[in-house]
Amino acid sequence: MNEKRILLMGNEAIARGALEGGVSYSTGYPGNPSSEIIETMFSFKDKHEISVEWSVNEIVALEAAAAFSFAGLHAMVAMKQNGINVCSDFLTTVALDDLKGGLLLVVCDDPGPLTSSNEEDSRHFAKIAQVPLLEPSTPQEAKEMAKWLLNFSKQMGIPCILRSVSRLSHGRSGVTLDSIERPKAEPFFDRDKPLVGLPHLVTINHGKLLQKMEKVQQIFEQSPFNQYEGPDDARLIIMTTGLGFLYAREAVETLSLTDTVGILKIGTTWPLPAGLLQKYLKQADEVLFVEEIDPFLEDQVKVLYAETNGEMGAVKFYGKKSGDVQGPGGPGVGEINGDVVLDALTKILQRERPWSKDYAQKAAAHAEKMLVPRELSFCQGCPHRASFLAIKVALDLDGRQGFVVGDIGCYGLAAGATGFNQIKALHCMGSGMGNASGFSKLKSFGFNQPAVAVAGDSTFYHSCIPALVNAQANKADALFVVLDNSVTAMTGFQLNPASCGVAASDLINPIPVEELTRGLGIKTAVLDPVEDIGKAKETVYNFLQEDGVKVIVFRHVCATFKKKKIKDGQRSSARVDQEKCLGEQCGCDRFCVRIINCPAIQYDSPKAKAYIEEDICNGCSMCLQLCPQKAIMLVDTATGEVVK
Amino acid sequence: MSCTIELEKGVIDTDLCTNCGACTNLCPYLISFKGRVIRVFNCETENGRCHAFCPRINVDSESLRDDFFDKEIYVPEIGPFYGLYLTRATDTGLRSNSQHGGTTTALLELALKEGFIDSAVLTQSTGGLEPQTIIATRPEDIRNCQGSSFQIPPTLAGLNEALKGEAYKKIGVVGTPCKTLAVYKMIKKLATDDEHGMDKIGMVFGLFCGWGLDWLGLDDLVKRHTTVNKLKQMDILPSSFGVMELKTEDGLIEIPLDEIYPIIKESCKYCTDFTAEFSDISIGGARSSAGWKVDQGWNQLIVRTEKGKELLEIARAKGVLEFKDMEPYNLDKLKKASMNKKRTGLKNLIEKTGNKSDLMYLSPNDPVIKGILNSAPFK
Amino acid sequence: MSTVVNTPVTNLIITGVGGQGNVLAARLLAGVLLKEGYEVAVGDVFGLAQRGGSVASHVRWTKGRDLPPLVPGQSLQILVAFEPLEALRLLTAYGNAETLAIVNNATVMPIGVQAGRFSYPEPDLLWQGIRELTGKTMIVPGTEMAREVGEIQALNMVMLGALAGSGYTELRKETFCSVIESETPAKHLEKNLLAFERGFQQASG
Repeated sequence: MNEKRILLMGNEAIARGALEGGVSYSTGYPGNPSSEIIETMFSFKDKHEISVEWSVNEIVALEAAAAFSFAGLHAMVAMKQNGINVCSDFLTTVALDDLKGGLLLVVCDDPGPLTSSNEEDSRHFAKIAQVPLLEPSTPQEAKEMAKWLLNFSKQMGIPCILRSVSRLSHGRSGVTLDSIERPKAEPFFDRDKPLVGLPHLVTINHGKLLQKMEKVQQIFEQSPFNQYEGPDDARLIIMTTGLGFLYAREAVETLSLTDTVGILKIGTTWPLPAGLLQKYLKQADEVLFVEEIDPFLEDQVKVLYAETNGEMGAVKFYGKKSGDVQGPGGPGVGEINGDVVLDALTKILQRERPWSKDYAQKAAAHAEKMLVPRELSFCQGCPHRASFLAIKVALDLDGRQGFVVGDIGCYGLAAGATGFNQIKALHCMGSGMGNASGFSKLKSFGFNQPAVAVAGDSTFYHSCIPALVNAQANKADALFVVLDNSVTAMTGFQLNPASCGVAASDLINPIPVEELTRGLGIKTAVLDPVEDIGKAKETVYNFLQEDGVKVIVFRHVCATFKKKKIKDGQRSSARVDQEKCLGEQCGCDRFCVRIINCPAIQYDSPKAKAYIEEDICNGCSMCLQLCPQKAIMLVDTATGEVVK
Repeated sequence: MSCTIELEKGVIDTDLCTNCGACTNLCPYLISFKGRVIRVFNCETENGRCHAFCPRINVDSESLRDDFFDKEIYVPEIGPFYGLYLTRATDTGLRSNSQHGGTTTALLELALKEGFIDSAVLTQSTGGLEPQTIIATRPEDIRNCQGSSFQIPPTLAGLNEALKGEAYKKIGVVGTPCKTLAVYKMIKKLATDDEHGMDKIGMVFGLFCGWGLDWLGLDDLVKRHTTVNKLKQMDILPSSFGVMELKTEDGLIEIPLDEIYPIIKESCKYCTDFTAEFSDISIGGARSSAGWKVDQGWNQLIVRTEKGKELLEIARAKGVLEFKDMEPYNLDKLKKASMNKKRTGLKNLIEKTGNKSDLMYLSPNDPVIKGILNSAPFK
Repeated sequence: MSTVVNTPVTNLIITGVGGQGNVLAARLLAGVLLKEGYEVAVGDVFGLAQRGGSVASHVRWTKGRDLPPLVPGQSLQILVAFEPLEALRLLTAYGNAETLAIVNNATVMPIGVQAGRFSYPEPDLLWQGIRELTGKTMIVPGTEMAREVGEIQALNMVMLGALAGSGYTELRKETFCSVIESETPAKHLEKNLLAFERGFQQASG
């Protein structure tokens, strides 16, 4: 066994590939499933003297990375699929340049979204911007592609995209490492070769780009990232990209079809290797497409097929368009997996897959009877719980049927029970702020419901500032609540510009949200919602009664982050006075368990008393304030002494 | 159905809620805020105290009356009745700050001194706005609460607070008819839960009430005519005068009743009690049919219980109150006014339900209600 | 690309509730497998799902070829469950009549149960369901043992120990220990190894 073979997550492998490929700068904006790429780059930072940072958003990241490329060095940006929308404006213009250094954009899609507010297939952007895009099937290949693309980007002078998906980015397997190339860095920007996208130059550069892409296609025809396996006379060929290849291969093996079915694995998804595909289209009578999210390969192959004017002979196509490849959500919806491919193959070939109907029936019966959903919840001690309680009660008191508009982040869970079902509109980063600004303009049409916008601290800097300026400049009446927990919690506690008080000063210059909002002339209150829920409630209510744009910054450090940081420090936990606890009686009815709904609060049904799981309680004291019986106290877990 | 949902559907959403406060301060689910009771979250308890205390759900006046009052002295128009009196406080200082004759304040102080009560749940307001409930244990605290608030403060939220713990053993309560009715429902429930529970209420003082005003509506109205911090007191004169008076630092401001009627609290339209029939003593401004000025500065007072009688006798003996002879027509006028309110309330309820046998919170089998419904204009 | 050979595949899932430490357990197990010369694929989910939701790490291994990261339906050979309800959930999707299960007996109430919107299944019915959907079920008092070790977060080590001691795989105890030593922080090492040992003894004893 090769001693350089280690276990790596797909994202770690991509970072390793960039390192091996000689990257000098990497940046991005955290977002599942891409965050670990830049996290891993941070771990290389000091040893390999590369520049790594989190950007405020994806377009800034790409613009900053492009500067390295303009100066002749390799740069990588990483983001989730939503991020490519944010940076697409720059992407479509930088594609027209003749780059001096490699510029690699890694985008991780989230099919059947595990942590996203859309199910976008980012491969379309390769076609829109006319830049090369590769899709790896394994962490090993992800590493190879990242490494290769950086140099290929430099060679062709155009940015390149590497597309991953959640299961690959977060999957782990053994990866064989190569040596790390550290190119001698001599950055220089050639003033005689301006990179200017003025209209009269655009047509010239666009033409050049298309020529480059023709050359790229020729290179891709020979690419080892594309492979065929199976019999040379296979009449049914599975054309597949990314993880689809592994699912397809397993399905073919499971059904013992290795002697009859061929698999054409495409790694160079854009531009497609037309010659290679035509070769197999000619060989095949039937083609099955297996790929994540949209029928991208499927559509493009059909275009190729049509372009040959019948030279390929009759081919029957199976895929998402025909409905043969689909999960429970339907074709093009949700993740694909081994079962989806097995189902497609058995349907096409009219086979039976190994499957026990008896077991399935038994399983379904038990599932129906017992499988209680496990809804997502704010962590124990999470400040969002207090913030949304304050907002909920303030809106109830206000009585105008107000509602909350927000976006994705841990606080997006406030659309569910853990956040008292408060968020009623949730879209892209920062969308709540823009929505609230617009809702207030409905006033002249007789609309009276206040819309409260929420966004996290990181989101605030990512994309809320334009909305805030817009609201203020256009005289909107809107309340913006910034849920400032000092870190970008959902994606792994990354620091961001608002990370006041928790960031090492050599990492970032913290910029408190209120300094910015007050600078815009916006009335701003800053308070800790957990410390005094009553005051938080009152502030939200009072601000709702005022005209104009107002900002409340609810500031309290993420409890889980804090716990990770101070592992061995003094810990405190809430404890329920069993004598005082009212349980189900009138006056309480399990308020803490049912309503506050913190994972650390449990209920002992036989005793009809609430109790705290002291192992996991974060000691935030929120429940102390809310217990109607004042039956909850705070104790030092080491000494058992009552602290509060 | 859970009690909070039932109250929300049956009382709050139907505009029957008077914001008396009886259901609040018991639990984290019901909150009184600026004149409205709001359900935040749901309680799954089925027979909660909120439900048992509410004066606008399941009111069985007849049995409640029989539990606490002497049947022999019952007068259909105005409830239990030992006598009607015209009184005012002897203390002129007290009187000068009062709405009418200062009788309520004088009696409360006396009740406190004589040990009838050890505390009083009262309302303190800023010139009649932003009323707040306080628990008074000293005469000077009581004096700070002089003057009316038409915003209908949730006084009983304060009572619920006072009932927690052992600090108060004989609480005095002052309130409008909806509130004193709730207090008797509370006493009954407390007595069911704990035989000594009812002892905690020392005495109940009712206030005559025609109607109250919408909290936010009154805020707006006052703001239209003056600034809130200049306001000292407000009063609504008998309808023949057609004005509301705002006493301000800049002098008296008269607001025509045309501006008042639209902000009458919706729930008050469904009330059938003018004289606070559930109380030991109930007190109102004197309204002589010989002319409003005749008895201006005096209170009229109904004694309804032995305890009330006893307190009034002490007041007379100690010279705390001055008494004025009464013309016989005063009682008739009061009965007529009281009966008018009953008829109007019932009429409005029937209009709301469209059904004579559905009186929402009231029982159509109550003999008084039956009597009214069997006569003109209902018959 | 690896060539296709028909060596058997082992499918294992580590499931639990977000925050119980399944991701680390899967990473350590994969490290053990790699050390023992297998090709391994781990399928994981991070992010939102970690906030109290149902989580599952798929760990698959074979020799000579790459595997996709997800276990196909009814193909699960070994289930390691940190929570019984999650054991049932995974079995209904991936289990078969031969599945071997190792299940921690401590329940974690979903917030919907705490809030009274749902009821957690009766323990007897739940265990009966788990047994009916497995070939063999080993119940481990994992949470209790982790607490005895003095670190509730070491539940994942207890469960790894139980897997190592169960005889369900041919993986060697020494490999587990050396991977735990190299892959977990020094300050937790002692407790981690102790927790692993407790789990091992429980399962092998």
